[in-house]
Amino acid sequence: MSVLTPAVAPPTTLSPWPRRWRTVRRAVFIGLLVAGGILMTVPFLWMISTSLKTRAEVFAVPTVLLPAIPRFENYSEMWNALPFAAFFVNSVKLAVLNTLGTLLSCSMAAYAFAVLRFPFRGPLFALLLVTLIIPFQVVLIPNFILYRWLPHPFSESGNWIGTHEPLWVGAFLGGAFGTFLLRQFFLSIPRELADAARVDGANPWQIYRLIYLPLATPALATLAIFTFMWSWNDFINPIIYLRDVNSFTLTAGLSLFQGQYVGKWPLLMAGALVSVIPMIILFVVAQRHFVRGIAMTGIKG
Amino acid sequence: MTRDPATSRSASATIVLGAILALLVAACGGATTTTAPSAAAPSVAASAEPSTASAAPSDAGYTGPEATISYSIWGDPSEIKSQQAVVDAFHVVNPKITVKVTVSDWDTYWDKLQTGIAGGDAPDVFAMDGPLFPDYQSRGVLLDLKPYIDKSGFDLGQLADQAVGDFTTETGQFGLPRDLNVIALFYNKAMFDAANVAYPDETWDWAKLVAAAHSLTKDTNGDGKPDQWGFYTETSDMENYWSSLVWQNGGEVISPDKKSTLLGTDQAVGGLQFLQDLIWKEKVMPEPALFAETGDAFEQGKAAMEANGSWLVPTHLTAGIQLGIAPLPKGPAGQATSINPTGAVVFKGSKNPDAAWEFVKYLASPAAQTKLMELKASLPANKEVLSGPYGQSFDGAKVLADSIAYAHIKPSFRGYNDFTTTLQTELDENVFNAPNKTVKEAIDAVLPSLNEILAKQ
Amino acid sequence: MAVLPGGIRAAARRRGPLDGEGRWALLFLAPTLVGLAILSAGPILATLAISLTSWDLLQAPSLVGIDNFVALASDDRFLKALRNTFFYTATSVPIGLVIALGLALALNQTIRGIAWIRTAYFLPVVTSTIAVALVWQWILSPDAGLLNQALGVLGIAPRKWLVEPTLIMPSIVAMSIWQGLGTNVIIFLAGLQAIPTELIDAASVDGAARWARFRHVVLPLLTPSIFFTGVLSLIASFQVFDQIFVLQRPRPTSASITVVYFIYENGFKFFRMGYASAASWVLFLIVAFFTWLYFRGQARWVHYQ
Repeated sequence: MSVLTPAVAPPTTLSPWPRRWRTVRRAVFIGLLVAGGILMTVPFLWMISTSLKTRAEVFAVPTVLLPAIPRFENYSEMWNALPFAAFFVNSVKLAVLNTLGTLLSCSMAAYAFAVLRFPFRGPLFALLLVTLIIPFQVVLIPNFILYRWLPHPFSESGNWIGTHEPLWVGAFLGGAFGTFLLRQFFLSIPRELADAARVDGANPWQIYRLIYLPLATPALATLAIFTFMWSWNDFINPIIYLRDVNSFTLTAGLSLFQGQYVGKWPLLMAGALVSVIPMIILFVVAQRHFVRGIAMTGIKG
Repeated sequence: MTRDPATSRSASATIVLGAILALLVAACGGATTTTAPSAAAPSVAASAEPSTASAAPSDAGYTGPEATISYSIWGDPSEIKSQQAVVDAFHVVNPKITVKVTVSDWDTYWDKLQTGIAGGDAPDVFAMDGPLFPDYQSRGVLLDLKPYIDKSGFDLGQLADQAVGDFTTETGQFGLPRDLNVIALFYNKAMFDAANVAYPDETWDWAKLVAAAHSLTKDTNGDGKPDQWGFYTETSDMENYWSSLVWQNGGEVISPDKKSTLLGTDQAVGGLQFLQDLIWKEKVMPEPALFAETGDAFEQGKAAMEANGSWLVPTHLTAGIQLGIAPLPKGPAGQATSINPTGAVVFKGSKNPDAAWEFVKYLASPAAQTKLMELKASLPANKEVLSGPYGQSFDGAKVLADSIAYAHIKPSFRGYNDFTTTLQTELDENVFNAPNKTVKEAIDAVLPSLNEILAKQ
Repeated sequence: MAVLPGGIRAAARRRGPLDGEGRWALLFLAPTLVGLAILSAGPILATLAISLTSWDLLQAPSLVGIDNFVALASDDRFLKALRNTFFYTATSVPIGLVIALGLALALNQTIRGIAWIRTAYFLPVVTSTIAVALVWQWILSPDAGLLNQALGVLGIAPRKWLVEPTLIMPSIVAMSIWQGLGTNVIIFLAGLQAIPTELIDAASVDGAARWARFRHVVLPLLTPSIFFTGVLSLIASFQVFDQIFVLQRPRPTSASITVVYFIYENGFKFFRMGYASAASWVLFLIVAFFTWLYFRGQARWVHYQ
């Protein structure tokens, strides 16, 4: 990653530099940035290429960069092997619910931790962080037992196992990552804004709603995209909690293609691409909200 | 399935919550020692008894109340479709029983199964790998099918004997084999023709294998490294090849009482040594690192022969290889191969054991076995199908079916995963991936740990 | 967790009655408190209870006291897992953060097509670990791998990246950094939005002045984001599992096993959930200690508004 050093390395040359030099430097810098971007993309391009290859082309040595005739049947084969349309709907549903729940519950908690004064604030925040530290593998079974124990009015078993609920309800009950992320951003919003509003008679809810949330848009967008992505890419929880294949998510369904046989690579890559495209679109759309570059005016008073 | 307030709280939940409670109480300094409550036992025992209500004799089919049972398997999309077809056919015969299929990939399957059992939500019927059976059976989570077999007059003799035996214990019969996997020698006919080498047959022995592999190992582009290998196999599990080599050399992996390993004997070491030599001395087989990431060299058309399992047949056929199948080459002590059944077992806590038994029985029936056979991924466990239609189902199927006559069952004992991890970590690092040690040295290094694991039978 | 600068300052400036704000806090925290009590506290306490038992998941657990913890201390595989995990944390966290910070500064500009370049850097993040692992298997494969082919052009002998004991962990670290880079870049980019852009617009100043401005103005304003990504990377790195699971099939060697893999294999493969839970509590205490150290140090370098 040596291409990136221009951004942080201290220039040793004496200033001021000739203007011409600066233009050259900038061109080199942009060139390196683009080159790095291409480097990051190469594996992705390889995925696209592999998804269109025949089996023979996957194994060929020397490596075949592009398939002779793109094999689009790989996509239909993959799509028809399992009920992917249902998977897609399930994935979208869970990702949207998780994103909404996380944004709401975490922004509220973060506001309390960053702005409000109350007893045991420090210890409570520490307790929240602690939940990040326990590896998921060991709480899997206690969690399962909990969801097995919770009654569910509509499920066949009468509990939460086999339903989508264990996969999203928790998002509405806070989360250490989101709360911590938003707390850090709320802390960097000048308190004077809140104080002024309070003098004007605003209550904490109004301050949260009208000052903190709008100013934290970049952070909220960041959290939204992460939450959406994690929900989208999670396959272990859906597999553990779901029973019926039709209730699976895209990523859980794709895991069924996994295996040690290389012959499956084109299908696996086709599946991976289909599952990643919604995320790319989301990222392209959402990035306006968290990266505004020079057009953005600082909020510091 | 209806909700039953008494059982909706899982037994294990009670246990874990009880343990927490005990801990908290103990921490507060109040209580004397508590043992974990064992609330699981009564209800399980009650449901384990075959229902006497349905007094119908042998093959009258299921006459109990309407029931829905869950059936959990591992597999890829094609296996899922095949099993779903079996389930649908079963429902036609037994309209009162609905079977819900749940699938996962191999790795997640076991995590999900254990989580389900621990959390009180296990499937009624699930697939069981032969070697892992003792770990589950000895812990009391499987239903003894013996009473059901006796009552329905089901003839166990219609299923492959070794496979049935893999699920038999001193106390009962805890599952029926669903399908079988055997190890054979796959060969690429085109490569043999090109090198003008005669196809492998039942007369082949180790020496012949090595000689042919030498003729088939070629450096076509002259870079000093072979581009075509004579032989390929997987070294990371005993089943793929090396347990067969141990048997072919007159050795044994595990002692008859399963309480110690016999890998330290000269015969066993000799079998393993043959495999190390194929890689590092004869150099007719690629070192494992070369294909660790990209997968099967034979499937990729980069090896002329492969010793491996019947489950690879559909993979190799779809890869477009001119596939030949031969028995494994004989060793100094004669012919041997490995057989490993996948069983269908019933959860001891199942609320519908009668329906579950009906389904397990159906899975072993010729109708279901014929359906399974069409996948070509495994051998039917039902003798009628195995000796009948299976032999003609694809070129080489007969060889696989005949090999059962001299096959040894894949070792199965409590602590199988633990044993394999300890053993293979040593073998992979020091014998196969790099020849840091001879087989003798490596086995001697892990022998005490292996025997320690086995002592806990 | 004594150092929360915002809190100390806030207390000094307090105007309204604390009771009122306490009630509001309860309202804002209600979902989180319910979640903590039901979803987190229960399961976490359960693992502590389980760590004091011998439990195979299939039968009732039996209390064994601290036996599991004692056994861990002399378990060679666990000690190797600890060593490998420390190596992973000590390399992937600092390298990943520095690269991500530099990239974020570079990407926080208005040049034509910057959105596409940003998306390129973000691609590995959205791709599932399974797909990423397959791609890296292809890159690192000793025979047909991209890396060895590229090195071959430079006349460097091919290596077995995922098999040679000294190369496995560095290879996995490289893949993890590549995959996780975009996550930290995005957090830094969002953090940069709070900084007046004249301060960051590096093109307007040259040389030493630019460095000084970055060092004394931009960097301090970014410290809350750096602090955050640092904590998260630290915690996540100690839990490295996915990469090992997918790149070291069917099982890691003693050079690549990590603590969470050890926990997984004991809990779900060896029927020793009590032992696995004990290992997870040892890991928990280690991570908690480092996190605490990190928090303790934040007053010295993290600047909130």
